[in-house]
Amino acid sequence: MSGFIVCGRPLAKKPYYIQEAGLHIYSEQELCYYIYNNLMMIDDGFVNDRLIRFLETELGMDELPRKLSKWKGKMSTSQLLLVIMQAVDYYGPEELEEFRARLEEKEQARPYDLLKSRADYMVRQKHYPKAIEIYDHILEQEKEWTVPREIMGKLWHNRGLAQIGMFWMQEAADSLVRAYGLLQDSDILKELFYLRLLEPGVVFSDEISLLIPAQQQYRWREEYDVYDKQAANSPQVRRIDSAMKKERYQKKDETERILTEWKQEYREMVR
Amino acid sequence: MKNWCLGIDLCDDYSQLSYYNRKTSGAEAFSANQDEQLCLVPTILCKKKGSDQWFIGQEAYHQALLGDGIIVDRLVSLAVKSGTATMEERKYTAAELLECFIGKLLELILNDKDSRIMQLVFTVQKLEPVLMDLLVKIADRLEIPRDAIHIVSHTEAYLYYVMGRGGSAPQHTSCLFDLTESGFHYYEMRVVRGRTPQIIEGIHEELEESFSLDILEHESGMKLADSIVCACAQRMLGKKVVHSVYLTGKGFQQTDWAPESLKLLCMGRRVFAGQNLFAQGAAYIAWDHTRPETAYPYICLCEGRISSTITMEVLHRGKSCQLVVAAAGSNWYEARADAELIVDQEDQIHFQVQTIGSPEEKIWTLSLDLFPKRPPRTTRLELIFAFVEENSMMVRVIDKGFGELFPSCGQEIKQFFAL
Repeated sequence: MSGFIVCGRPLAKKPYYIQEAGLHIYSEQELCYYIYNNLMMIDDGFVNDRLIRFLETELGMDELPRKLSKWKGKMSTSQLLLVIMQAVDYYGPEELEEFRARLEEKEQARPYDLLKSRADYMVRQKHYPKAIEIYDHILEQEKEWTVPREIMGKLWHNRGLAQIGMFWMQEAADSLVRAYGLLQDSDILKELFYLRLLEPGVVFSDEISLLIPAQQQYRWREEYDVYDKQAANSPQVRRIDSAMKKERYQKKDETERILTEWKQEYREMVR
Repeated sequence: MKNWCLGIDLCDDYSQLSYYNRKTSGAEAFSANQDEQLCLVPTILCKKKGSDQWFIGQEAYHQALLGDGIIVDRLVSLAVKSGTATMEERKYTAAELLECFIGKLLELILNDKDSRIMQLVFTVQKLEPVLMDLLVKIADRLEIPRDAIHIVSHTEAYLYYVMGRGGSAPQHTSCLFDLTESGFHYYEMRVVRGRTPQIIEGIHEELEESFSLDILEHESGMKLADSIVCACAQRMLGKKVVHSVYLTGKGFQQTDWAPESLKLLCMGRRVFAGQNLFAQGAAYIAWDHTRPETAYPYICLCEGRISSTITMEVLHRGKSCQLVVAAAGSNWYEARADAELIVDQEDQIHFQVQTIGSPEEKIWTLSLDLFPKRPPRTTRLELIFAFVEENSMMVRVIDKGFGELFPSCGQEIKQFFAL
């Protein structure tokens, strides 16, 4: 049902920090959104005293923290999560039913599913080193956990994306080649093709290159050129161009500002 | 600790002070002694020459007559124009002068350290936003809490005077003639029956036939004035069924100059003449603000009050309900509201406007296109509602994003709607 949902409480002055996600939460709706969309990220320690204190002190809730305090240790994490979702006016009955079904699926999920979901979330949040660490951990356990081929393929692929984020281009190429070997997905070939255009020094076997017909390469080259032009005209690039055209001292100030922002972004990434 | 509920009638010629007396459960005029004449304080300020001493009212005239003081008058008009006055080569702003006057006025009643103002209501002839803002600032500088200050029109003060004096739900139409040097005004209080809650309507008309009160000093002038008032009364009352008539203002301090008018007015009606009426009405309002529930559970429609109820449809626990943004009968200057809402698949906000007495409902629409598109329920909006004038509401919508998940774009939409 569309409309405007009334927020009964102001935002928290001191947010709740979810360490696994590197995320600060300011409201009960954000908490529910996070839980609903990152269920695989949530482990057994999620509903803890710190969270309950946050709900009570920062958000001014009384009934929910009381229930969670009473039932923590007596109910499973899944049940406690459902209590939270039902207490907050955010998701409707159908969505809660669907959430309940996903909770059951999660209870039956294998360790590599949960870890991969966590790593994939890290990639989406641009926390690449953490994501790579988790992917590597799964790779180490591959035989013990009997990870299916398809999952392994996706894992290598996403590892490659995380490595691209870190500008580790050769390592990324290697990961994508492994992914292709398992999945035989032509989209991965396209990604490898683009990677080589972006970083000509990247090396992978000629066998891979031969898999892409010349006509297909031509078309992909054209598409890449379009993206390249768009990137050249992006707000970030225009900002740099504009900085370069400024007078000496203004140029210095602006470029220093841009570099500081990039450094901060990088620090956030590797945090 | 003596807690005061005060009403101040602030006009260019005279100001009047009233307070609510809990012992008698009624509003009473304040004067230096028991003489009603002295409850009229001339709205003038006198600066003693060569010093920083200021005087108001009769004392101000006295100093000026002695040659010791410089007078400045028409302080309300000066404030509305944001004017200045130069005395002894120093320029004083209207704000400074009015603050000084009001401070001195309050000193008349708050003469001991144990006195505290619980509520203070100003009543003025015309609700000018410039004047209203200034009075709030002055009250702030006089360390009166913001929520203890209210500003109402003479019309509204009159309604509360009648309701306060009556002690129960008003039943009949009454009217008031206010004759001062500034003008001749007619007010009417009507009771709209058959509605719950009951509606009390206040009408005001500035009569064209105003005249200088100087003419009352001569017999011919008195006769002329009497015929003018008589004609006005005939025209305004016409065939209306009016139960009571009030006569107030400096012009009606004495009524023996208006025998014909009184004869007409007294036909089938009760007539009361007296001063301090608006100030007392303001004092009743001040006292009502101290109560947990109002003693006057009616919708008052008059100058200074919003004539429409404005709502918007919202969701609470999956059910649709109405969020009241502004209620009919509320004071427009004080009618501020804010709300935080989460948007679920909407790109417009619709407000329903229902005007009292009109069967039609108007819809105001505000587009949210300026804000970035996000997944459903990941945009938190702060909505701030305020009236800039009696008939003009401003809506500000601020994008608050959705925490770190979907950061705010920092954009704001501001739109004005006319009632």
